Amino acid sequence: MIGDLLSPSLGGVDSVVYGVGTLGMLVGVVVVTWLLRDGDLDAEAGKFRYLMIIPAFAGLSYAGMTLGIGVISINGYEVEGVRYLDWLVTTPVLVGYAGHVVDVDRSVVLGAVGLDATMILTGFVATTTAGTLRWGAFTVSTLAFLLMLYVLFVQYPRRARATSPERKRLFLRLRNQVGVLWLLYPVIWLASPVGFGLVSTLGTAMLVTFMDVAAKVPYTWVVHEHRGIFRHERDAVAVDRDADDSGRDSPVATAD
Amino acid sequence: MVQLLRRSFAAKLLVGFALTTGATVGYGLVTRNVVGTILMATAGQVVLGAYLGTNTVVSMRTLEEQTEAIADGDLDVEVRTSRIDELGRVYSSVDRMRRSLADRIEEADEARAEAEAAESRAQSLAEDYQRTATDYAGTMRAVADGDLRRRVDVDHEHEAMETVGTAFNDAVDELEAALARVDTFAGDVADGAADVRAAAEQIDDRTDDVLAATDDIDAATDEQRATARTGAEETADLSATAEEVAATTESLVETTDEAADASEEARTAAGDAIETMGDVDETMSEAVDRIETLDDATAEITEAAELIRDIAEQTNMLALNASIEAARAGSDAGNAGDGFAVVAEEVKGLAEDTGDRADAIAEMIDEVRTETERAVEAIRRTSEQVSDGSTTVAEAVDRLDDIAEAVDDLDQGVREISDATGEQASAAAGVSETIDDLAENSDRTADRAAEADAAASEQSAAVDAVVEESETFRARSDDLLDVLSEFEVRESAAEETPTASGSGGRGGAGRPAMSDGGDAVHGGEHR
Repeated sequence: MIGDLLSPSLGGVDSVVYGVGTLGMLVGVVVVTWLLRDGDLDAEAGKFRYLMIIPAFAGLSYAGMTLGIGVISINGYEVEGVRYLDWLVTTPVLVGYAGHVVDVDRSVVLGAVGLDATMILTGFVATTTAGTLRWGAFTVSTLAFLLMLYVLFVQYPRRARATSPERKRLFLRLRNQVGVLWLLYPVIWLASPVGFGLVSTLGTAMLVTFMDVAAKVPYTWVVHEHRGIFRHERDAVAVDRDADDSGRDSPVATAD
Repeated sequence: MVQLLRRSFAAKLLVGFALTTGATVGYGLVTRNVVGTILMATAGQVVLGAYLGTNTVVSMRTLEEQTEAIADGDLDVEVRTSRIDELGRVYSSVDRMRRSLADRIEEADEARAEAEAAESRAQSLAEDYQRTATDYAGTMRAVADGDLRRRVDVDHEHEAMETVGTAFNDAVDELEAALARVDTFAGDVADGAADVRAAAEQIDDRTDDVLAATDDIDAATDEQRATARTGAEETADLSATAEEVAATTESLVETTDEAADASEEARTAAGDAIETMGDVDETMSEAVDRIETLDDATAEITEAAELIRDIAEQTNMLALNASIEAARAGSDAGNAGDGFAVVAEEVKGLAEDTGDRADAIAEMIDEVRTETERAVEAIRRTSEQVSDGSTTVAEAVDRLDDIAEAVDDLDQGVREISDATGEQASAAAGVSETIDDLAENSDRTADRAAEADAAASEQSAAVDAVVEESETFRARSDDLLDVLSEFEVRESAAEETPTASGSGGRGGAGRPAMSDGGDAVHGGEHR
């Protein structure tokens, strides 16, 4: 089984799909690199290195899946173990970074991250087990997801300490993307061979890859659009003054 | 293309729709699975919705919050976005609306604040006027009742009321000053009448004194006249005496002239005497010289006599020796020896005679010399006496000079006395004339004194009439003072009046001088 895990199995449409996913993640890496290289921005305030984890780690994991590494065969299904490792690392970052934008209370962020990790781990359990345990784990994972949505949509705004319109708008965009996109994952899981088997393994891989890329790369791009928030302090002041003077055309702290 | 996507939301939507549709169609072609394709289509919609939809929702919600804040009156909320599509334009329109609304509201607020301020100013102004008017009215009534010490408290904040207050205060100041001056004037008149009466009485007394004095003058001028006459007589005597003195001094001058001549002659005679004495002295010197020559000759004779005596002694010695030899030869040779002895005896005798004669000569010469010395001595004494006489005569000459000078001085003095006496005589004559004038003046003084006496008598009657009139005058001024006492006037105004009347007033030439201290009075004295 370990041998199967590590043996590359190139060929097949799967690898093409994962290759496209890898390229999609590279776009995110380029976007975050762009942010890190921008001298006007305070990388420390923006925590761009944490942001980099999202496309970088996902890219690595997709590269691994392209090469067929980390595939586990359980109950006759082939499960991409690396994907769950990817999710276990990147989804807490997605949740935590959205909290960082409006400086949400640390304990609340940790609560959301904990629920996210629970959701991923129980999801992995549901994927790799069978029978009652599978459905029990799925139920727990779904509950953890709903709780996490509660924390994101209710607790986060209440416990936010930085509520400038610009930061709030970025936060809302990041949170809404995450909250809405992630609703599809349980549906895909139910349709997949692991669930009711309505969709083939390849179809599942294509859907998940599309969703992963759609959930991660636009996330980094939205941060890039709102990068003005993380300008150095003096520049921010200057930008504000410019914005007041020149009107609509060049505010940087806000974006669509 | 990018610019178009930024500017147009519809373009974004179309592109997103095309991409998701492409993905769905690709999925369907690859898997040929209906459920999967539906899921893929759904995922595409969700992604579009998550990306474009949530962005729009967020933008609209933020806009809503901001417009609500504006609707609630918070016009400081800035409405801005970096979107430049349809929504971005809505943002900018709303922001323009917000700003113009803020401007309008600010203008309205300012206008209202101004209106309120104006209204409150008008209100407080009306109240101030009313308060000041009430205040003024009280003071004016008090002044109308005769209390001229009162002044209105001038309201400097309102020009109209200030003008009224200042004008009223000035008017009361002038009235008060005028009344104070009339009061003072009436008092002065009463005092003046009393003074006039006192003065008239004093004049009466003085007139009596004048009458007494003119009598005294009369007596004194009589006395003076008598004295003047005596003086005139005495000065006439003085004049005569001075003329006598002048005559006497002239004869005295002649006498001193004679004395001067006499002393000149005496001096000449003394000069001659001195000359003669010099001659005597010379002659006597010659006599002394000759006697001394005689002395020398007698000395030589004395030496010769000495020599003769020495020879006589030696001869005597020889004769002695010869007699001794003769004696010895006689005894031996008989006769021969005797002859020898006789010769020796003879020689001896001769020698002794010669010696005697020489001694006699020496004695005679000694006598001559002694006499000569006495003669010399006598001549010397005479010479000295002549010298003494000469000195005495010279001194006498000096004295004569002194006498001559003294006589000159005396002469001068006498002449001066003579001149002075002449002047004295003429002065005495002048004095005599002056005394005569004096006597005439005394007569005139006596006449004037008599006239003054008559005038003083008339004046006394006039003064009595003045006393009577002034008494009536004082009674009237007392009546005036009684009338004035009905007004109350501040003490300061009454005190100011005498000085103010001297400095000239602003009231013009036709009115009495006003108090210039009127403004100062408002500040400090009003009640």
